Amino acid sequence: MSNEQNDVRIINLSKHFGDVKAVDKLNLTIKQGEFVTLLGQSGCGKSTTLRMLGGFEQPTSGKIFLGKDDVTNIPPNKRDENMVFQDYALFPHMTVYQNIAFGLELKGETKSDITARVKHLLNFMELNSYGERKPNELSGGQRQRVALARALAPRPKVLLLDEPLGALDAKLRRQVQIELKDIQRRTGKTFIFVTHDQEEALTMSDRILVMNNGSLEQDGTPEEIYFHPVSKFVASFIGEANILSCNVVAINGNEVILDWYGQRICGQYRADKPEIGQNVDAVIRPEKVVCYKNDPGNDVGIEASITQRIFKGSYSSANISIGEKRDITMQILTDAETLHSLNDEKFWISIPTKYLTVLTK
Amino acid sequence: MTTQTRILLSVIYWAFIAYVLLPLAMMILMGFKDSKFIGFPITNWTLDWYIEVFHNTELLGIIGYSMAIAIISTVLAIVIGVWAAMLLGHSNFRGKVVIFALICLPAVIPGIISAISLRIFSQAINIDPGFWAIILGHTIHNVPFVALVVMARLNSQPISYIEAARDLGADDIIAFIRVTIPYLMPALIGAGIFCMLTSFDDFVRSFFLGGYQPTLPVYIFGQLRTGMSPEINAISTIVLLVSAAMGLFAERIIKRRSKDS
Repeated sequence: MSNEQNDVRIINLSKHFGDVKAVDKLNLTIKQGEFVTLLGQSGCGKSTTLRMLGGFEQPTSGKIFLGKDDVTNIPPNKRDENMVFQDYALFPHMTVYQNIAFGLELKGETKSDITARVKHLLNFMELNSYGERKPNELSGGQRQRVALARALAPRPKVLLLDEPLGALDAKLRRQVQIELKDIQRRTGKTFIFVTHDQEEALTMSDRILVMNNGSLEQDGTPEEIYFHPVSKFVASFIGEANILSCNVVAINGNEVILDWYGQRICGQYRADKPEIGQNVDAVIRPEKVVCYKNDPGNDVGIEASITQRIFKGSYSSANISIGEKRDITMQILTDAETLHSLNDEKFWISIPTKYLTVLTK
Repeated sequence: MTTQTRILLSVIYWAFIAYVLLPLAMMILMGFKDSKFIGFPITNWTLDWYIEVFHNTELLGIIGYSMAIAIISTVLAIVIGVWAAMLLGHSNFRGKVVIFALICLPAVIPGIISAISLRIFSQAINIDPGFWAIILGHTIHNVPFVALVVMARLNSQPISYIEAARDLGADDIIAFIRVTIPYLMPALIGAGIFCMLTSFDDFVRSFFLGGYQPTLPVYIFGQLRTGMSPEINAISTIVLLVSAAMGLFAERIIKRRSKDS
């Protein structure tokens, strides 16, 4: 298949710095045209992986393939991959035009081709009137677009982005996230994006690779990662999560009946199958907890009371406590009106089976 | 601060300014005095000494000779200094501290010691006293300044600049020429002008390593011994103005270029 020609394949890739295993036996395939995010805390190995893809770090062992070619030992200047750096790394002595033209000149393209390509990119990035400016005369968002244009100019097969939005303020960052996703869609290029910001990852990615301690923790779409984390680490790293400690009572298909401090709740497992009697973690997002003013009956409702209300504008969250002794706490997230209608002392919640993910410890 | 301390401090300040500027002012004034004797009062003014300077072919030759030495030794010092800075700046290796110390050594060796040792050395390797021997002396003296200034600038360059150049298709040499050198330019201009002025001004090394042809400071020194002509004042004033102009130019360039990054 022609599509597979430009897939990126990482096979058993490791990078050790002395005793520290920055990346350990990583295996993954990134398809052409995908927007893939490597997500993790600092020191999880995501940047090292990206730098190995770019050719700036030499792997300790393992291989990297770009299409059919083994590029493991190819220097960065001979790889069909370009990088957008965290600090943009625009050349300060060159104009925006010269920056974008740099890679094309080195590819030996003719002057008229270069002019046409740079003009096209300036137009594409809405930087038409900025060609003759120096990088220090641009705003953060404009610099970011120039860096992107410069990396796209030589028509790389893969674009590597190393936390390129970190330097922007929160409002601009959200705007650029949408722009970036749009640019990726319009160019059809493979984007490999590195970030520690889970919101950024959820907004832009086709697929998220959550990394922890140098290895892959979970590989899935943003929805899968968010609603069905495979580990406690992923659950607590991405968004807010209630992690309930339960005992397994019965298993029926992939549905698990749980005992949660005397309450019966039902969840689903997707990763390892739990055993009856085992102590497990069950994960539910605060907004998936359903609240009732009155007892819904049929043993669905669990009595609860509110310990703290937190107003957050478009929605509200609350810390609640459950159980006869009110010693189990969790968080709910709902619209302000629903929360307002609830009695502080007594209301009912239920936990939908679909959104309660059971994780073995 | 009390009023008294403030007055005292400003008196000291103005006294210092006078101490810096008065000798120069006197020298400049004497260059316009229509008399063979240096000293006050000045009764008649003239431009003759300046005219004489520009008609003195021997003197113009000497200035040219000094400038040639300054330019060549500066270029050599920059090449060696940048090379040393690149070696020390980007890598960590055993003996880095020793190499750094050796490069800096010529800056702290007293001029007279350096001059005598180079005189002996240059004769041992069959370089006659004169043009190339002086260049040798000036270059060695200037390398540490270039290396230090360039290293400071190099350390402020984000590694990502080089990586970005490599990423876009440049090999090490192209990345150096197209990205690193322009980044270093303010430092190179500053260090270059400093080296040229130091070389042009140097007496001890030029005196010990020189042949029959004197450099400008050596020539002026010779003139002093045979009786001082007011022509000296005219030459000195020209040198002063040119040096000051170059210094100011260097400062402006450095400020403007550094702003870019």
